[in-house]
Amino acid sequence: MSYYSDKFIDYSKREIEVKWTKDTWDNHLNKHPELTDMKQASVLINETLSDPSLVMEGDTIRNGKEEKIRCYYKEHKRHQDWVTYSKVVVGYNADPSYIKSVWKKEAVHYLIVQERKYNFKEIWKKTNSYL
Amino acid sequence: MEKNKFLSLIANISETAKNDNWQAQYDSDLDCFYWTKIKISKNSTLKQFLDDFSLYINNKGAIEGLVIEYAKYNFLGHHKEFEPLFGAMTEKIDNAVYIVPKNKEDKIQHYLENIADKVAKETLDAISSNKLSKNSLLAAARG
Repeated sequence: MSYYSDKFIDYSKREIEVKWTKDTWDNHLNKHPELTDMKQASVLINETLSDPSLVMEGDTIRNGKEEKIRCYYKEHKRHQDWVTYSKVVVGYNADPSYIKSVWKKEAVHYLIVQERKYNFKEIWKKTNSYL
Repeated sequence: MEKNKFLSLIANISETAKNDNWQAQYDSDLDCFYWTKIKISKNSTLKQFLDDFSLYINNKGAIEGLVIEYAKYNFLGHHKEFEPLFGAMTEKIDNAVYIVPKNKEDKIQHYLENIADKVAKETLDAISSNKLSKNSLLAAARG
């Protein structure tokens, strides 16, 4: 039984779900102070998945196993070198795909998309995106 | 907060960590390494101005922890010297999160201090090479 569950449709009409245990939810809540409650988390996930600025896809090793993931980025604000953005990490080797993580963060613009260092493919980019 | 005050906070991350009883955690599902206060303040924001490290900075500009994304996948690949630290995080506290058992905490302390030193050195390097401007650093310190 999931403690936090919800369903979303991404910009490409793919169904993506979140099914987190209480431990996973509590852990996210502590590590990401910007998350306040499930409703707000779902809003943040939904706006990032449905209208991303950039989507990267690639393979990683997690717990010794290869896992295909997609990272959805959405710019929220830009001021000088800093960008406030949300990032949703999605496990993509299942149908429906599943949310692994969500957060909102501020970073100097050239450091945001870590996945470019690891040969992830850019599969979607908004024309006006700075990322 | 002034740039120099913030720089001194960065230089003293080890001390802050000791005083605030930071805990090292590894999330194997997300491949993230955390070294943070047990309860990060709600007024903290995660900020990144260095390649490998993001810092939790509260609304007073104080540092409450750090995060390394792609910790084993990338960071450890380039920094083999931290393997004993990751190897020591064996106590499972939930599905995918590991911490260092109490009886091994002393043995890994100097690795954590080395991570703190790395953050301080990389910040100074970024400033002196003009990769990080004074304004950008001040923006991070604003919390």
